[in-house]
Amino acid sequence: MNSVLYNPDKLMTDRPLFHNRRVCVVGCGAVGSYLIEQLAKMGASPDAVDFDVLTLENAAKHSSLIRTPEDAGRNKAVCVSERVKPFLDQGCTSHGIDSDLCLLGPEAFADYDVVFAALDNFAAKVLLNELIRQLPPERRPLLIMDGTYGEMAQSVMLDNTEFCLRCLMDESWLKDSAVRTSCTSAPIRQNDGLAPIVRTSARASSLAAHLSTEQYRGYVTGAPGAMNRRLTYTAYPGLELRVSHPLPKRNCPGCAIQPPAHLRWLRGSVLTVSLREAMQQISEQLGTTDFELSVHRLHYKEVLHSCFIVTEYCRACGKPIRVLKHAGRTFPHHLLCLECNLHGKQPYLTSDLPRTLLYAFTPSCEDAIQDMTLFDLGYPLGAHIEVIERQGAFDLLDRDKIKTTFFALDEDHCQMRQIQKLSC
Amino acid sequence: MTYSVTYQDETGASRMASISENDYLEALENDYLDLQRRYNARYVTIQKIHAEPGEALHLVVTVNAPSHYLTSLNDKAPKECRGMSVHIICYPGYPLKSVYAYYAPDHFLASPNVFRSGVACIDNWIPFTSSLTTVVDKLVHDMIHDPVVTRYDSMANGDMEQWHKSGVASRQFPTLPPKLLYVPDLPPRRPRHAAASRPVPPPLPPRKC
Repeated sequence: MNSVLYNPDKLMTDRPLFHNRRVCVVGCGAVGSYLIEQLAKMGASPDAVDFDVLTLENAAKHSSLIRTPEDAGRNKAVCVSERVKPFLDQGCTSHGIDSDLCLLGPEAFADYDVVFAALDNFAAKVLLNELIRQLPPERRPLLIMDGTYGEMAQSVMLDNTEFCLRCLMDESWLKDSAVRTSCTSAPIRQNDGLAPIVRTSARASSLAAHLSTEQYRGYVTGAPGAMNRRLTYTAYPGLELRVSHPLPKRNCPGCAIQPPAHLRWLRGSVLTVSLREAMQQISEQLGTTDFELSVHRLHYKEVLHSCFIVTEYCRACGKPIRVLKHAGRTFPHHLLCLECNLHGKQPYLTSDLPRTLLYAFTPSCEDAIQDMTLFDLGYPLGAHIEVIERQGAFDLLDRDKIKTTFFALDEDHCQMRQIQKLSC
Repeated sequence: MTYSVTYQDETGASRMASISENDYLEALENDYLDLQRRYNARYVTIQKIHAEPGEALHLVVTVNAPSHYLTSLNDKAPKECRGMSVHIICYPGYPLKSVYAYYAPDHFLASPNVFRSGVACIDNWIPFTSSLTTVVDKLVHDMIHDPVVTRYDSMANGDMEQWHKSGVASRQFPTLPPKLLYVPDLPPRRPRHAAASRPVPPPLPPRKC
């Protein structure tokens, strides 16, 4: 124990239980920054993931770990994990990753004991739920989700045995799941198509973090009745701390997500292994070259992105361009040629021009694609890669011949301790 | 693999759905079998072709009836032909994932609802309302220029609007009576279960002005 900061005589005796436990905080805003501070002071090793940057206008809502104004403009995750380092106990680590959640796959979370969802939008919560549910139960981390609304704070801890994260969300909130809200329970109120700003305080955010860490403490110390409960703090005039037991939602799409029945391992990481190398390893394992890798299927904001764009037409001048990007990582400005991009032209949407899309990669793909890394082809870090062997089948209705195998890369989870930034 | 989606149905209500690998294959198989029994083989042929990597099912639907086609992006003069074929591809995740329909880029249907690239416009895809059956039905009607399915409000090829409208006005379109497309003695479908009737609220009292 770091005796300079942590005097064991003045701390709880159960503190060693938390020592060096690996936890991940997804979202390092108002709640997430407080969470990381508290987790570090508990003796855990908190990693942080966020794609966003710190802004001055939100400085009053974040933990005091963050320095104002020096840290404005820095990535939240990288900054918080750096600022918390002086408070880490001996042997503990904190690593910040500047990344969008869409760039992470299920195996990226397989090494953690607990994942904290301190996210402010429903689309990201749905995606995180999907990633966690795709892990087999023995490697699936606990999930603790928190949030605030006004002066109210909430936290839910779940082990995915009774209900999932999506069970806690009303499906009508997901109609426009991009609407940002930091609330876990109140529905979005829309006024003439515009979502009003959700007002919350730093106090509520720190309380939400307190509730989450209390649930985490309850789990680590084995407190009975801590699992699968929701804690709700209500401020004056109805001051109250309530414990409730959420129920599973009927026909919940989140609960229907299951891990692959059999997972096989490839050597390396999606960040470094090229398609050619991956196919070599797969053919060694399957004993055939007659297979295809399904392009990564990204469900985000209720849209299924499942293709890889090879060629397109410039959406401003109509000139053919090579895109070589996964549809889920393609934004309108990617569909402009260099000149139109330089001239700041606006892309328009049309289906009028032919494009080349791939829904699967095969050993016969062009060399330029074969040389790309799996990550550049759209597979997230920690992806489960679906490989289909058709074995002469005419189409997928020929079910007896079709064989599907899932592969993951064995070094992906280690990358969560090494990489600083993931970008598409 | 599970496919899930929250979508807006035709009434605008938000609905959620999740289907497994087996579910989607079952749905695809059922719809394919339904297509095979529905059309008159004299005028409509449905052929399965070898599915490419990434595709779940690839069909070529041919209508053997007078039709018109275009040959390139800039072609604005429809040419007559004795039949048209369209390719339809279904992907894993059907029916949550939409199907894709296209004509050959150098021999595509002259229609306001077909893009100049040869891609057929199939409107908004609403899971469990839209299906392979509804798409094929729209396309076979489109191939005989039946105005019943033509959407002038959402045009893919605006150059064909006037041509199509004048063909309808001169009664050249549709080029074949649409009922001939179907098997004449198609056995009736099993009646569906009647939806529970909604209680009607009592009328409001008259206003006191």
